[in-house]
Amino acid sequence: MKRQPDSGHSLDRSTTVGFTFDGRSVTGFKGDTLASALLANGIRLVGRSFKYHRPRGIMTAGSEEPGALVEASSGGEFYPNVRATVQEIHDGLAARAQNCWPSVRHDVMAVNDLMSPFLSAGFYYKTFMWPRAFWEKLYEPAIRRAAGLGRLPRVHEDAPYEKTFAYCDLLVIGSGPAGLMAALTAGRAGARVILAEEDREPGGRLLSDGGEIDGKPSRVWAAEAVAELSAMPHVRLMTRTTVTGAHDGGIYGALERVGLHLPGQPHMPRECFWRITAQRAILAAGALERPIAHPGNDRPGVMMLGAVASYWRRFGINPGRVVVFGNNDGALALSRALAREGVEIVAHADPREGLAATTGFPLLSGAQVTGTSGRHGIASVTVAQGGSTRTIEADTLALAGGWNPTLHLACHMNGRPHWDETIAGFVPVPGMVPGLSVAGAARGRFSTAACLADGALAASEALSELGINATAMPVPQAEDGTFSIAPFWQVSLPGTEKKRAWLDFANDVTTKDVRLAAAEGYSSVEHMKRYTTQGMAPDQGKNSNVAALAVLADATGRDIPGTGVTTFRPPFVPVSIAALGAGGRGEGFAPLRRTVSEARSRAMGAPFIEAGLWMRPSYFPKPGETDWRDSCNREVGYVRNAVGVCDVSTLGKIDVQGPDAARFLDLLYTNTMSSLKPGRVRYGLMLREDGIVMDDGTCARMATDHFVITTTTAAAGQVMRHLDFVQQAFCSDWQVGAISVTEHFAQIALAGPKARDVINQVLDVPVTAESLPFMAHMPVTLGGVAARLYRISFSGEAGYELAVPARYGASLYDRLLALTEAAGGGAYGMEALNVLRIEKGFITHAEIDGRVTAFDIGMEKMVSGAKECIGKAASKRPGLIGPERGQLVGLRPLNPQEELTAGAHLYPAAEPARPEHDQGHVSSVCWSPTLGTFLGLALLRNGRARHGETIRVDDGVRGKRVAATVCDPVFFDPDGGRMRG
Amino acid sequence: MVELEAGLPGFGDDLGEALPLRIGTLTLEGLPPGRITSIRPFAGKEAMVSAALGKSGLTFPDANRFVEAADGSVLAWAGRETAFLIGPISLPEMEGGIAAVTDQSDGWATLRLSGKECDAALARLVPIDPSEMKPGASLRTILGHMPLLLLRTGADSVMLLVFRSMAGTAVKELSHVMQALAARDAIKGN
Repeated sequence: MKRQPDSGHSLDRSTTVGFTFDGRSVTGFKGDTLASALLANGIRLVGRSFKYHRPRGIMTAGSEEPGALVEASSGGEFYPNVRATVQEIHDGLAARAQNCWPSVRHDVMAVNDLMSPFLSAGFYYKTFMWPRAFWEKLYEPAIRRAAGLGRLPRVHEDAPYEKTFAYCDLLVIGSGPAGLMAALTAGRAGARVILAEEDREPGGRLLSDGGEIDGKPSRVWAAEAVAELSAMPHVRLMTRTTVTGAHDGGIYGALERVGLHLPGQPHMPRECFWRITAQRAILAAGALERPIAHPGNDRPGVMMLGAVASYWRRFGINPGRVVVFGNNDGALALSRALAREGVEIVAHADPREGLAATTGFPLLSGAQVTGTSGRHGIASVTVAQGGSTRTIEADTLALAGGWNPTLHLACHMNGRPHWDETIAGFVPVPGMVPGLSVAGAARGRFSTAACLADGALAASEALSELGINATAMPVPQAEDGTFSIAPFWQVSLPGTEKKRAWLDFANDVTTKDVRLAAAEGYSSVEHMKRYTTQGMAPDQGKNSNVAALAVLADATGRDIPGTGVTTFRPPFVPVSIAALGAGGRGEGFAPLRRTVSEARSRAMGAPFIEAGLWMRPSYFPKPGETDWRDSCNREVGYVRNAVGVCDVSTLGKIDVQGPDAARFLDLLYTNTMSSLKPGRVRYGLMLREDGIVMDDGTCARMATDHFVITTTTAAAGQVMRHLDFVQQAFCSDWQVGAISVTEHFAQIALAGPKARDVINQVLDVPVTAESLPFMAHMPVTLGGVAARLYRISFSGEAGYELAVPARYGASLYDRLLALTEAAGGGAYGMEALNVLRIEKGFITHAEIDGRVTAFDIGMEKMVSGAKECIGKAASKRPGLIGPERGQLVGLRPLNPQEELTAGAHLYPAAEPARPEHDQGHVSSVCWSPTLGTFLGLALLRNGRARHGETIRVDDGVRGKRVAATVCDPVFFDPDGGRMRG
Repeated sequence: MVELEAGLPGFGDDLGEALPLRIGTLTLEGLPPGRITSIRPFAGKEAMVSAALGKSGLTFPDANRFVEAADGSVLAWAGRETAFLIGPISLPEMEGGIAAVTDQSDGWATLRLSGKECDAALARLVPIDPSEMKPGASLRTILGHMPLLLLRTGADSVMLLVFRSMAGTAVKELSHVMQALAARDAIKGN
């Protein structure tokens, strides 16, 4: 194969592009795919097959390519399984043959091919059965190493990708004759059209067709249509874009190759994944030519006839001496046209008998190809005709086994296509995907004239459904004719039965494998597929499924429709995970929520943990502290002995107003909020509708008809949603409104015996224990800034929380930090906060984990008997109350220094750690510097009746067993004198 | 007595300096924190709220719309039965408990994105058909993964209100989009 001078209308011959293949420097022209550029350089052998490591060449000119998969690297990034027929060449592109070692010409794993009798269909189910343990440890790893496609790069990719939404009235998939006519019809009617074309150039098969439309060469007509469409502002013409899936609600996925055809540049997306919402869609994706199974049909140099024409006309690739093996009139016509254009067709073999001789090449009627030879590519083709065989020297064997409509997208919602005898192929039936119609070759209308008419018709129908008036436009004149084919799937002449004839070129599935599957009872197409791996390679059976089905039908004595259908799932082409997940790498996974004190905390060297997307400081290390626990112990000491400051802005805050606000909160909370006096705060518990605890928090009454409630950090969104739901579903006529004010307020907590001293240094009017008692709140001012001061405690010490508009938050935190440090205290982080609350037996979502009831945490008395609330009835269901429930208890290890671990399970001392003896689990643990012991909170079966018992805390994961005493969960200051004082 | 300094909420030091961003055809600015007040009429009190608003030349906006006052303040639909009054205009008196009114000023960071490719940038982060974003549109939607109130202020400009705490991520994601669009522009025709 070599390049013809001055030909190839898809090329810009004035621009030479340099790239490498297997380390060798090669050149091509701008516009070349990697495949066309390799062929132009006489390179036919480009890879090795999956199982047998057979030499593989370029078989097609499209994204369906099964053989020419390569590794491509550019700009430091490296990608396996790149289809050479899709990848465009660019300066700096380095491509390598894959699945071979040491080189594609001398691949030691080709020994697999000699072992093929042992590697037939289902071999791993039969050959590697014993001993049992060997499968996982020896056989599977060995097979995986020997088989497989490209290597994965061992580093994370950091190239940019994009994801985008798009909307249109009509999505046209494919820009061949049907697609262009559909887009023109809709575009001229003013509809918003997206025309998606997989190739670099729009035009589809018109680019490689020799025919004429309206007296012009097809591609000229196509170029004019494209120019007209490009000038329409409401039409988006997307090239290098493959529609990959048809999904619910008229949403289509599409993969755009944005920067893959150029050297990598900063910020240049490699690919973009589009989510296109279309009112209507027309699938005009054409058809894929299929090979014929015959011995030696996998040798490099074997190519589809349509691909030969495409490389010849678009890229100026002279295929050398060509033997054509086809079974239809279309193939014959194309051979004639190619011969006229100068392609050397040395023979055209057709299994149909009685064909009249033609000019330009020898037509062998009633002939079949029975073999090929050549080490790394075709050197000769053996043809049997009328009982004799002859060997013909050739460079290319062009197969033309008919066309399979590209109906894949129509199958994406489980629709089943219909077998059409006249084209010997599956065609879509109407309504397979709601809102999607199929036009042109994709539904078996193969002539150019039929495609043009079909595209116009499909668009008119779609427009009328959309209520858009379309003026009738004339359908251009073009080649018409009937498609005559004699189904021919495999060569099975005497002497060929023992030879391997390939169906799936990528996964190395042969007709023998399918027959073997049938013989072994896998006669259902779904079983055969799984037994042989037919159709499971990157091309997903595009080149082979129909033929495999035909072979299976033949082997089982059934017809094709009686054997089954081939159907397809998304995606139509491989989609990189990076494109699907574009923007989601690292921090892009979720928004980071930053508190007002974050910058200060970072400056203090605090490590952060995420809580409900918020970044919160774990602890604040000081010089000389060797691990987090040193810092944590010190911070706990601040609060117990002096004063600590902590940013608690992350707690959810919801403003509830209205004449019915109190009634609304009574419905939401288990306890009564309507009896709360303005200026007071009450602890509250909310249940889900199923009676399980949803969240806890505080409820502060600002005025008769105004409350501010708090939620935990993690459940803030859930509680807000719950309020919205309850209001809409159960009391939409109540006079109440609730809205989140979490973001508006920064809230800073001060806790400890000296908290009041510190707080009074920032208040314009100081408070006393009497003016602001425990569980009260009041409006205050700080240098004139209005704020709200709450007297609440999550630490068990005298505690205040000061809420200011967030713009003052950073400044307030800094001031309070300086004042607490001056008072012998300082900042405390999440670790200390956790220790402080465990010492007090306060719960978090570690305890109320979505399975726990108010009864379980000892708060069943908070479920008021005097009123109804959400979840109350359900919370009384059998099984949610009683001694069989895990109940909140405290745990103290017998040896105070022995570490308890969260997640450990509880067993009676004498019983083994088995499910039937499981008594509960540990939800939270800490080292208590205040009490000098490890502490745990746990949910223990009938736990409240078991205080004083010794139980085994068994952490099977970490291998720790600790004997601990069950006790009350409030370890420190049980009567609460410290926080009230 | 303490003197508290007001900081630009949400943007932090690093991001505050990063704005405005001018990349390719697009400009992203951070608008100074002004006043935002949420107004939510109680059930059956919508007409009374509208009457109160009328005294300031405003009407309660239809769903997905905003209305403008003479001084440039806007009253924007901001979700179910809720509107945000954004700007310096003084809040009309809502007498007799006819609406829930809260101060949201520091809860939201306000960004403005403008330029020829404004819609293309939004299409990468906001799942809304630009044809639904006619001037005067006010949409509660998402920007990437975060809640967003989007106001269409001009043919090529929008105002974006995001949670203050998430503003850093918003700026980061928008800047990535702007960079990618500029990179695409640079290879147009290739």
